[in-house]
Amino acid sequence: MVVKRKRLLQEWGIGYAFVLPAVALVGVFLVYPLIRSIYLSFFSWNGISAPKFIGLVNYVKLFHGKEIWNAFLHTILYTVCSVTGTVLIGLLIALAIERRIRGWRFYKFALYISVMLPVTVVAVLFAKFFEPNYGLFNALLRSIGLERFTQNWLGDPKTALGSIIAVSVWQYSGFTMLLLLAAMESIDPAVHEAATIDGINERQRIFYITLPCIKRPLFVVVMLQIIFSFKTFDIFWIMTGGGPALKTEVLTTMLYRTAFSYGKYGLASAISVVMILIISLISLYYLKKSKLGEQVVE
Amino acid sequence: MKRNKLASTLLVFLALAMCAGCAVTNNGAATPNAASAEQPAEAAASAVPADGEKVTLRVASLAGVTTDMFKLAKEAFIAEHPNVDIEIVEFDSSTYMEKGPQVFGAAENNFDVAWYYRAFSWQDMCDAGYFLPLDDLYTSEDWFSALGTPVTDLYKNADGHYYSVCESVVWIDNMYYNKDLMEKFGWSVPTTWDEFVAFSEAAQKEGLIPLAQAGGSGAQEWLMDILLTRMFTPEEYQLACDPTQTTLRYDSEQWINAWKAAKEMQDSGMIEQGASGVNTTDAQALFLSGKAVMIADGSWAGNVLQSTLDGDVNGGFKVGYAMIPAYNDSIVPKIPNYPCNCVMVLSTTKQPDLAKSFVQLIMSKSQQEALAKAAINNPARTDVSAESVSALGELTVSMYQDMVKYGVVPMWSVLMPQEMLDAMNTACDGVLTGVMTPDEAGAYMQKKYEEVLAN
Repeated sequence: MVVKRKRLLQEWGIGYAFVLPAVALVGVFLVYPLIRSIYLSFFSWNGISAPKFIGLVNYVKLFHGKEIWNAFLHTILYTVCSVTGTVLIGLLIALAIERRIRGWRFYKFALYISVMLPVTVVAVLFAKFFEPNYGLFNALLRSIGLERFTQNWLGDPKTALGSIIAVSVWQYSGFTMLLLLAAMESIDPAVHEAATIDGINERQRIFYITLPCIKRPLFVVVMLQIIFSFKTFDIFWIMTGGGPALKTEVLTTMLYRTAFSYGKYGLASAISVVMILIISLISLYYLKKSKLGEQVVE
Repeated sequence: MKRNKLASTLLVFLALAMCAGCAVTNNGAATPNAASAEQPAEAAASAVPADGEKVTLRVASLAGVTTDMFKLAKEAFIAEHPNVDIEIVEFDSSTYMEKGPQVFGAAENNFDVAWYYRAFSWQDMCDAGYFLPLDDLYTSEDWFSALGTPVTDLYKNADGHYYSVCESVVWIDNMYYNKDLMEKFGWSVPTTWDEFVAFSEAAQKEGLIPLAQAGGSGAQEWLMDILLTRMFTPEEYQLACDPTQTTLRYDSEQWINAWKAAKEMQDSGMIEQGASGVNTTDAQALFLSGKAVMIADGSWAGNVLQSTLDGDVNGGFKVGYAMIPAYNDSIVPKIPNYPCNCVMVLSTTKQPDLAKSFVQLIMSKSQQEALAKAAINNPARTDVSAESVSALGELTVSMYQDMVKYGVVPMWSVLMPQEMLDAMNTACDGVLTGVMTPDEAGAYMQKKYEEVLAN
């Protein structure tokens, strides 16, 4: 028995050796803060005095107030619109580039530039574009005689969230485009050649060859976009700070405000725990439905 | 065998790393050994170190003008105390706002003196014994007269002690105007609200924005600070600024009228359209580009605006300063200020007397005058000479004259907890954009206030 265990350790030892540094890093920088966050969510703590155990009071407060539902609604709205927009636009552009339309190299490069820009730069830039009195968008609308469509883009509760979604879609469509394009380009050319010989048209090529072949990468891209969108913070904080009238408040801005403006670290931890739970549930459901967790056997 | 050894070593490393992670508690914030008012620091070293003994004071500072202020004081202090060195450690503003307690509390930082806001975590740090009381200096230096009681009251903690002192101030609701445009159209600076309304109509007829007023990204509270000081009687204002009072409700007529006035300013075009989507730099851009005749901005902005215009290759215009008129003729408004830039002695200091001497020097009349002469910041003391203030520029001199003439009051937004400020910003957004009526804004604020009081 001992000999067998020793042999097993010899066989697997090198495997553990390779995995351990990553496990250590994940443990210290991910698992520990997560456990600490869950622990703190049961305390009242201002970051200075000793934490005071209050049980589930933070959670009761959180779900009793309207703020969390308001932030949750905006987070979901943003996530749905942003993921739909970035994936659809990215897919369309990838399809166009994959068909080698005229100037495809330029489009591929140009559309990826936005991804390379820091979010803070994009947010500040677009905040200027959206400025109601001298901003580029309203100036453009005025110059082409569409003054009636000018808006107080970021200051009006009706348009603020939509404006942020538009910026986000603009910035991240290049990212989905690149991933999906890579997936499309990995399809065996013989499949396309065979289909061409069979007399397939372009619509059929997209729906019966390209899309089924990139189904798994497409699911991965959607999954990544859901996670990215759900935890987006910087673009909201810089462009609107959650305003006007909390109409762009999302869970992340609420968390930041609760922790760093109000000094309620216990309540902020409760928000983070709720966020982790929501995103885990969405991810698990999606993994199950998309069967991404299953091993592909070629 | 070797593989096993490697695996074991890594397992030990993992365990140690986890322990190291667990050892970090309270996000690095270590509550000091409360050398608070009741427990004065044992290390009552003499103010002046013995001959030949070299001591160093460590000072935590915010990068920028605060560090300039400390550097200026350092020179003067070292001239008096040649065997003392002062080490100034700079932090950026976000570190200060978000991690003040960690900065001051970390034992390895070993700070003697610090600069901080009388905001954010200040109150919690006072309660947790981070600072030494400065009561003796308040009395011996008579800071009550030099700073004015509206300012010194702000630093009196619930336990009756003064834990910090205001070293510089800014004023918020200054009105700057484009002198060239005013002259061109023959307009005079309005001194009453009726004149302000008439001026506003005339400016709009010329296609100009009368007053650029930032109303977004946290600047909403300034608009309300302006209106509160111009619509509330001094008694009402004092009540409104008391975070614990329950007499003047937020859904009272006075408050609702303030919301109505804000809405009226927006709807009548007195301030730019879509003010809720305009931040301070956007408002400045409207003024600098000549689209707005006037701008409401802080005391720091006047010189910045003028120097930007002076550097304009196309030839900028001259900037004038005036007070925004009172909404009611019966009210003589005081100037709302932000007296939250303060210095304090940390309770972890090993040389409390020396640290206090340094603070004493910073707050001395001569040093406050030197601060103004070096054009670093507006001194908090109100008794500095006019000659020293003149170095801060023509616009600041006018502001000082008004400050002396009308007096100052701390802004409502300075005295309120952050949750009330956010509620104010939300309500202001709601009213300016028509999502909330003034009555709804009042009800919303009252509900928030009750929640804050309950907590």
